[in-house]
Amino acid sequence: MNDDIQKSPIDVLNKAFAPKQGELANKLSDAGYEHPQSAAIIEGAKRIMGYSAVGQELLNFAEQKELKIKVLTDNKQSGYIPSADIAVVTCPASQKKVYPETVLNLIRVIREAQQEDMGYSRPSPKLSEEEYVKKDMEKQEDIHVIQFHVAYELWKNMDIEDLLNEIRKGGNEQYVSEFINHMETISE
Amino acid sequence: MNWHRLDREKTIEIINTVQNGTDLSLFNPKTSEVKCASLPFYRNFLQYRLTNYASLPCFTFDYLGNGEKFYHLNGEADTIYKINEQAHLNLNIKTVMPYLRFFLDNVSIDDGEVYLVENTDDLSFIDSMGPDQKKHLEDHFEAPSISYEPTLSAFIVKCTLYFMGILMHTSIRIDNNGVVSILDQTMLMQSHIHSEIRK
Repeated sequence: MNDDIQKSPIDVLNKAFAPKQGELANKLSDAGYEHPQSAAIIEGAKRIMGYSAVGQELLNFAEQKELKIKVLTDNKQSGYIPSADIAVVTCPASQKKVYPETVLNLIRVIREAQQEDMGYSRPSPKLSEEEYVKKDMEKQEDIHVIQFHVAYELWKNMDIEDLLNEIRKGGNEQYVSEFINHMETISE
Repeated sequence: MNWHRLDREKTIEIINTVQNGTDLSLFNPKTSEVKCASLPFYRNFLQYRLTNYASLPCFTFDYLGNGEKFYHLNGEADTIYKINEQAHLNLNIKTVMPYLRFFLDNVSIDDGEVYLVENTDDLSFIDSMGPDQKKHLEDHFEAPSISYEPTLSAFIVKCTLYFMGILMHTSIRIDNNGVVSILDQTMLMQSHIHSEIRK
């Protein structure tokens, strides 16, 4: 998914910092949140998720519930559900195609929408701090398990390890190893 | 930065403004807050941070605005350059470093984040270095220095950047319009460990 060709840091930085004449006026005159490569990024992420049975189930859910998936431009990669019917993934404007982090974020937002649909809603701010954190962590844990499942199936079925490597990047090497061991054990 | 939280009335007004013309409801006034902070290099623009706490994780967008117009900081250098024209950018020896920090924080680069290293304490991997490596780094590290080059009509900031796993000395040119470019680089140290910077 991501090209790992060694580039000169100075060239990479100067390319990112260079003014791009002629594009600015329009960009500032409209709200301009929509990512210029939105369609390609969504299509790429769906295609990759579709290689996994768990990923395909999430896509089926999104289609059945007519969940609107939006890719917005921001200075960070992220995924949010601002309201029940919209799933938002953000990517830097320079991103031209889907990255592993984008796929993980799309899994996150669709699963969170699914949680809401199953009545497993966001913790209320009225809860005590202890209860709020507990419920929040349960929801996050559930999302992580689904992300692992898709990443594992991609690796196992298609030899695509990018998602597992992306999860490992966050210092989760041991977590990934334990999950793989668990999956290998139960499939024996 | 000294953030100032806005009252409910102003919060609603700004949320309505930034969502005007879109079919998105990114921020619900009931679950969102708006705060702002002044930036020493802009005379009439503030940085605004909108956070929706109902989303998991919290959903945050940053904007630059003058109270009427708000521009989303979308990670593109171009957006900042265009705002500079409207915001009466005021660069001088005192404001050029805060501008550079702001610029590097808000421009996204495909190959990873770039960090301005102002002190070796910012580098968490220094603790895992051998004594020779540590001495090499401490001997060669230079704190940022700023000069104005009239012939270039630009400030030159000599500083250390961490990018793509490389710690490097650079000369950064910042012209009077705020356009940033790297003039040269010298590798100080290469690290194979990523995300070791203490933010």
